[in-house]
Amino acid sequence: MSAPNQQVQTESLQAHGVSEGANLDVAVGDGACARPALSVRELSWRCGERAILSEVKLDLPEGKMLGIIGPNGAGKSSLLRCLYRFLTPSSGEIQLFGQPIASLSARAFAREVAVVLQDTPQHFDMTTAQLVALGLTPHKAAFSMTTKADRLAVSQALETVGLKDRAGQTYASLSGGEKQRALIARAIVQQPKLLILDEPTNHLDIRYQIQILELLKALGVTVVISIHDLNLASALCDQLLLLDQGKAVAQGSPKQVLSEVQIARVFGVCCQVSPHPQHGNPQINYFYGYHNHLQNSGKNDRHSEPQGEQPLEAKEANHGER
Amino acid sequence: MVSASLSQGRGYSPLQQLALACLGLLTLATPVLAVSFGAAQIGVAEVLEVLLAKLSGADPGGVTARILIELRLPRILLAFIAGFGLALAGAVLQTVTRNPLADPYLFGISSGASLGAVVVITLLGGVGGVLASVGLPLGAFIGASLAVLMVLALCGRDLNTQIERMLLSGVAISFLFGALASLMLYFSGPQSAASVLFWSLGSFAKASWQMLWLPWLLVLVASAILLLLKRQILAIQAGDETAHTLGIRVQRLRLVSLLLCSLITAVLVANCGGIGFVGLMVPHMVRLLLPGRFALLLTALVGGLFMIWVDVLARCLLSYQELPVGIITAVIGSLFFLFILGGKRSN
Repeated sequence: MSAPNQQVQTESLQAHGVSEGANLDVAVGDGACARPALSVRELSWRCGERAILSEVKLDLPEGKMLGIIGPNGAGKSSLLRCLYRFLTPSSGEIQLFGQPIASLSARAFAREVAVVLQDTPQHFDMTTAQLVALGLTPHKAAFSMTTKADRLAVSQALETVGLKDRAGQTYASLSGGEKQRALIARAIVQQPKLLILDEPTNHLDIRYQIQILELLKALGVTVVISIHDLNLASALCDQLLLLDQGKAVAQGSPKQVLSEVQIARVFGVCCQVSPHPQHGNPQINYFYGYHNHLQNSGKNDRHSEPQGEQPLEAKEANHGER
Repeated sequence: MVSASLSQGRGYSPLQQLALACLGLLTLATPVLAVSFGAAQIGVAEVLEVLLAKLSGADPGGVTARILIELRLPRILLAFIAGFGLALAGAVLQTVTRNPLADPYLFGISSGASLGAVVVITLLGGVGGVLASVGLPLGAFIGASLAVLMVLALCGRDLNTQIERMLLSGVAISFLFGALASLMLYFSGPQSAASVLFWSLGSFAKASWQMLWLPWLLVLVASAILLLLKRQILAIQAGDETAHTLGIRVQRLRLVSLLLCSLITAVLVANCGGIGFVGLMVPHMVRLLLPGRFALLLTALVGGLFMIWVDVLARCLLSYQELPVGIITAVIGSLFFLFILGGKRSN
C-alpha cells in the first residue's frame, strides 16, 4: 500500500460534526483499473424514530475484501441487511457494478449476491450436500430439475471448502467450523459476484477464523464481512469500514483505519498499535483495567480514556453527539 | 455410515436401499392384496383373474367381480389419494412453517369442514338421496375453505411474525368454528348428531367411480405444483432471511403453499371426513427412515399405501361392521408418537 495508484476520496466526516484527522483521508485500491463493485451513497435507515444508519458512504473495488468493524449496535448488521435488500433504506442508493440494486428482480439479485448469515433455524434437518445445493436455487427456474452439472458444482464447492467426505452427513452433525464452511460452499454454488458474510468467524477457534478468512480471500470474488476481531481484520481484509452509531467514521486500508486514536474514540479502549512482524499491518495490543471506570462513571466517559492522544475538538464534537 | 459420494446412488445406505426396495414391492403388490380383504373373502388368484379380464376389455361377470370392481377398487383408490394428499400437505406445511407439529388440520380446515357438514346435515337432515350425497361434501368444502381464507386474511404480510400469526389464527379459527358446530349440534336431533359423528371420524365407504375424479384431479394438480416448487420450499427450511438471500419471495411462497395444502385437505375432508394424524405422522416416519432428504414424493407414496392398509384394517378388524378410519389412524398415530418419545429419552 506504499504507492497507491489511485486516490479515492471516500469519507469526509465534516458532515457528522467530527473533525477530520489526517488518517481519515482515505486511499483506496491498489489495482490500477479496479472498477467499483459496490458503491453506497448517503445510505440511511431508520427504525421508527431512531436512525440506525445515517448517510453511510462506501466504495469497494472488484475482488477486494471489505471488513466492517465497529462496536455492538454500531449498525454493522443493518448495513449488511441493506446491502442484501432484506431492509429497504430510508434514503440513499446502493449500486452493484453501476446498477442500482433496487432495480433487480429477487432472483436476478440472488444470482449476483450471496449471503452467509450467522444463525440457522432450530429444526434444520438437511444433509450437507442438500444445504450446499440450496445455492442453486436462484439459478433454477421454479420447475426445473437438478442436472448432472448441478451435482458437479455442488461436489466441487464441497471440495473447495474441504468437506467432500461430509456430503451425506446431516448438517446438524458438523462441527462449528465445518458448518461455516458448508454455508460458504452454498454461497460458492450460488456463483455470486459479491459475497456478504455476517460475522463469519463467530464462535470459531482461532485456526478456523484464519482458515475461513483465507478461504474467502482465495475465492477471488468481492467480499463484504462484518467482523469483531480487529487484529484478524487488520491481517486479512483489504479495506476496513469503521462504523460508530450508524455513521461511517473511517474507510480505507487497515493502516489508515486502525489507529490508536480511532480505536480509542470508537471502542473506548486504550491500545497500542504497532506493525505486525509478518504482514506489517497494524497489530493492536489492548490495555486493561476499565472495571472501576465502568462503575464510577456514565457511558460518556468511556471516550475519555486516551487523554494525551485525542485532539480536543474531536473529543468535544464526539461528546456532543451522544 | 452413510456413504458420501453424490454421484454414486446419491448416497443411500444399504439399510435405506433395502427399505426403498421393500416399499417399491409393496407399492406394486398393494392394489392386488388390499382388494382381496373384506367381508367376502376373495383369493388373490381370483382378484388377478378379474383384474386381468377387466384390463383386457372383457366384462368379467359374477358377484365377485362386481364387489371388486364397483366396491373395493374405488375405495382403495380413494384411500390412496387421501393418504397421498394428507401426507404431502403435512410435509410441506411442516417445512414452510418450520414447525414439526404442523398438520393440515392445524389451520382450521377440519373444524371449518365440520361446521359445513353440520349445517348441511341439520338443514337437510330429512332429505335423502342425491341432494344429501352432493350437499355434504359441498358444505364441508365451503366450510373448510372459509376457515382457511380467514386464517390467510389474519396472518398478515410481516415476514417476522407470519408463521406465528398463521399458527395462532389457525388455532383461534379452529375453536371458533368448532364452537359453532357444537352449538348447531346441540339444538339438532340425535340422528343428525350420530351422522355428524360418523362423518367426522372418517370413512371411505362412500367411494364410487362417479365421485373419485374430483379428489384425484385436485390432489394431483396441487401436489404436482408443490413437488415442482420443492427447491423453493426447501430453501425456506434454512430460515426466512437466508431464503430471501436465495432469491425467494418468502411470504408469497408460504401463502401459496398453505393455499395448495388447504385445497388438498379440504377436498379430502369433504369426501372422506376427518382423518387425523396421517399428515402429522407419515412425514415424521419418512424423515426417520431418510434423515435430511426431504423426499416429498416418497412421503406422499408412503401416506397413500399407509391409508390403504388402514382401510383394510377398518374393514377386517370387526367381522360384523366397519370401524371408522379416523379412529385407527389416531390410535396408530398416538402410539407412534409415544414410541418416538421413548426413543428420544433413551438418546
